[in-house]
Formats: sequence, C-alpha cells, structure tokens
Amino acid sequence: MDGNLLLLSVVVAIAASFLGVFIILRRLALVSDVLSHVALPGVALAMIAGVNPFIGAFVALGAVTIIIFFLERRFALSIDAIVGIAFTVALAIGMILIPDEHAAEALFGDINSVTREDALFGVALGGSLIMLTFALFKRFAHATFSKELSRDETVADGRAEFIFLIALALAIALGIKVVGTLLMGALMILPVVAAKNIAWSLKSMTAFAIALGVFEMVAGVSLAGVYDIVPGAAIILIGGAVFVLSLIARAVKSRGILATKEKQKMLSR
Amino acid sequence: MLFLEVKNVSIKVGGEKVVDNVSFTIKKGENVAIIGPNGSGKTTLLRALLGSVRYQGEVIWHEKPIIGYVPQKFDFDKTVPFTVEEFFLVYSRKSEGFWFPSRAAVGEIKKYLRYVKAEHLLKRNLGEISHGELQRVLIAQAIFERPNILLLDEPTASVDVEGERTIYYLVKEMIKDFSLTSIIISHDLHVVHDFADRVICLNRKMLCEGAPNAVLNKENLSALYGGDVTLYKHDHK
Repeated sequence: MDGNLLLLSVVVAIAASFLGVFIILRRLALVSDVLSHVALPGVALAMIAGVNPFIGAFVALGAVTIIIFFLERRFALSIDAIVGIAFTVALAIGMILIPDEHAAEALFGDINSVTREDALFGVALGGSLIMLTFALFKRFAHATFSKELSRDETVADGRAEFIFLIALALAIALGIKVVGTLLMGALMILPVVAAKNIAWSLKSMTAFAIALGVFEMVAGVSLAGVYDIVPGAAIILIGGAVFVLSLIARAVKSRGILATKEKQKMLSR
Repeated sequence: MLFLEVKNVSIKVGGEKVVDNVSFTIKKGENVAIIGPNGSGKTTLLRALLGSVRYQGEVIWHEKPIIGYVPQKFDFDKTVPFTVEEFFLVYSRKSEGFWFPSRAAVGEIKKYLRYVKAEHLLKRNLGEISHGELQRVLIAQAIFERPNILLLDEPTASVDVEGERTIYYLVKEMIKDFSLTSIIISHDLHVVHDFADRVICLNRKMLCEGAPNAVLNKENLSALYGGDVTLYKHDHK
C-alpha cells in the first residue's frame, strides 16, 4: 500500500476512535452506527451528480445531525428514536438512488479508489478533527458526564454538543472512502469499547482506544491486501476479535481483584 | 448585608407551574434550609438560582455569585473509567488542563479531598466508590471552586444514617471555615433544626418562613406535608 493511503487510514482511525470515546461515554454506540447509514443517500446523490462522494456524505450527515440536535431539544424526543427513524428513511432513499455499480463501494468503501488529492484532503481534515478533539476534550467530557453539574455552563455545553455532532458527521464522512458507510460507525466504537474494558481512567481509555483503532485499521488493511478481501470488513472483524480479547482481559482482571479482596477478608478474620 | 433577592419567581415545567410566586432574601453568611414534600419545586427553585431553568420574576445577586453546587443525584455511567482526579479536572473552571495537570494542580485537588477525608480516593474510579464517598467527593469538588455560596440539594439522599451525620458535620465545618452562605434542601427536620439560621417552607407556593424554632411547629408542618400532599403528583423534577 502506498504511503499516502497508509497515512490516510491511520489518521482516519485516530480521529474515529478519539471521537468514539465520547460516543461511548454518551451511550450512543448504536446511534453512531446508524448515523453512518444516513450518509448513503448523500453518497448516492453525489455519485449521480458527479461530485466527490465525501461532500455528499458530509452534507447528508450534517443536515441530519443538525435536525436531530434541534428535534431532541425542542420536542424532548429520545435521540435513539429520532435516529432510528432518520436511519430507515435515509437507507430507503439511498437504496432507491444509488447506482447499482457503485452500491458496494458506498456500503463498504474502497480504499484503492482513493486518489492522491482525496488522501491529502482526508489527512488534513482528519488531522484537524484530532486537534479539535484534543483541544476540546475537557469541554466535551464536561458536557457528557452529568447534566446535573453543568450549572451556568449549560450554554457552553450546548455549543460543545453541537460542535461534537458536526465533528462526528465530518469523521463519518471521512471514513466512508476507507471503510464505507456500513462500517464507519463500527470503526468509531469497536476500539473504544475494547479500551473501556481494560482501562483504569478516562485518559488511559482514550489512549488505548486510539492505539487499538490504529492497530485494527493497519492490520485490517494489510490483511485485506494479502487475501484480497474488502478492507472495511477485515478491519471490523479484527476489531471484533480485539473486543473479545479485551473482555477476557477484563474478566481475568476482575477475578484477580476479587481474589485479593477475599484474601484480605481471610487475613482480617 | 443582602446577598440574594428572589422576587416573585414562578417556574413552569412542561406547562405546569411548579414554583408559584416565591419571594425571599438571603443575607451574606446566612444558612437557609428549604423544606417541603416531594414535587414541591425545591430542586427546580435551586436550578433557577443556578441559572439552568427559565423563570419569571427576578433573581438579584448583590455580589457576584460563585456557586458551589452539590446535586441530589449525580447520574453517570458507572462502567466508564473516570477517576476522582479526572472528575476534578473536568468539572473545575479553575484547573487549566486535562491531559497534563501540573503537580500544583493535583496538590490542590488533594488538599480539598483531605478536607472531606477522601484523599485516598484520588486515583479511584467514581463508579466504584460508595455513595457516601461519592457524596464527599462531590462536596470537595463544590468547595474546590472557592465559592461564596453553597447550594446543597439533599446531599444525603442516598447515604446511610452514619454517613449522613459525617456529611452534615463536614458541611457545617466547611461553611464555618470558608465563611460561606448556604442554601440546603433537606427532608430531615433534625438536620434543618441543627443547621439552618432560617427555614423556608415550599409547596409550590411559599407557606412559611422564619427561624427553625418559630417555623417548625405542628401547624406549619401539617400544612406543608399533611392533607394536601396527596393532591400533588409525586414527580421528581
């Protein structure tokens, strides 16, 4: 694989898992999964119009995200209900619109169709998203954890949430070329849930998530190259395997803690 | 010296008036308790003071308020690894960074944790400490901002009796040491008696106000808690 593509996939992986931390903290795992499908009609329309699919995906995602943001606030609907509706509608539109010959690419991505310009643009955008998340991490965490403690910062938290959703839309759109709409959502949550299983703090969880995201991406793309399979699918399968390993690690860890506690109990008797 | 004036404040939640034309004042250094049955608008009133709900009427601060707030419940995903130290770094305006806090910043956090006898919890996860410990951490975080007013919303709602006494003892000491003004919501009339200079009885409307000895009598309490209570929906807002 050439250097540009490798760089692009690494940047996409970092941006996805970094933002993914907040998807998991907000218990929005399914939301991001579903949200990534919303890109489909955008990609379809862009293909029909002969525009870069990234732009179509971002416009579709951005529009739906902003609509969700306001619907949630105005009507106090739960975000999963709104997203559930948006998803099915978007998928239906996408299926009607998308030209048959491009369906597979839109759904699963095709990293080999990425041009040099695409790659450079993707790296620049991904890099900006990473820097943004790094800089606003404290603010995002503040808006995420508890609405009870937000006091007079409610306005700032609302703004942070809006920025977060836009960043999310950009990140999903960014990943579409690499892993496709179907799997981009999974790319954002798989490394993070695995990291959550083995981490001891928010910081360590974030660091693990990014490391695992990069590993899953690079391993998946290489594997796909060797066995000539769809990269997106390979990445997600590896992500799934890593998650299972992390579960085992957690089980071992908590058993270890239990054992120590029991030992302490015995000693204190 | 007057610190806070609440004038004719009414608050609607979902079209229903949960606070109805409430007025009172608080002097600097005063400790005021708000009592009332569930669903009587106590928490909503506190949230109006925090500026997180919309209200009609006026809330006038005569000195710029720096509010330390201890919520009734602090909901968060207990499975997420989030240490006490990180909690302080994220929720405090005064701490500058999250990723690489200075040694001085961590020292400061420790100092406040020591205040509530929770220094050993610094690296522990919020999700795995007990209710009482969590409540102490929340209190330490509230004073970490060096507030001039402390708002406590049933700070012991989820703590056992032993822990409850410890917490009130700590709060009382803190208020003295930092010469704070405070508003506390409580169900425990003993605590109110012990703690407050003044009591405000609230059941959507203000039913009584005055020194604990003068206010906490049979008539007022049955008017507040007895009889009509069943007329109101029991909804925790």
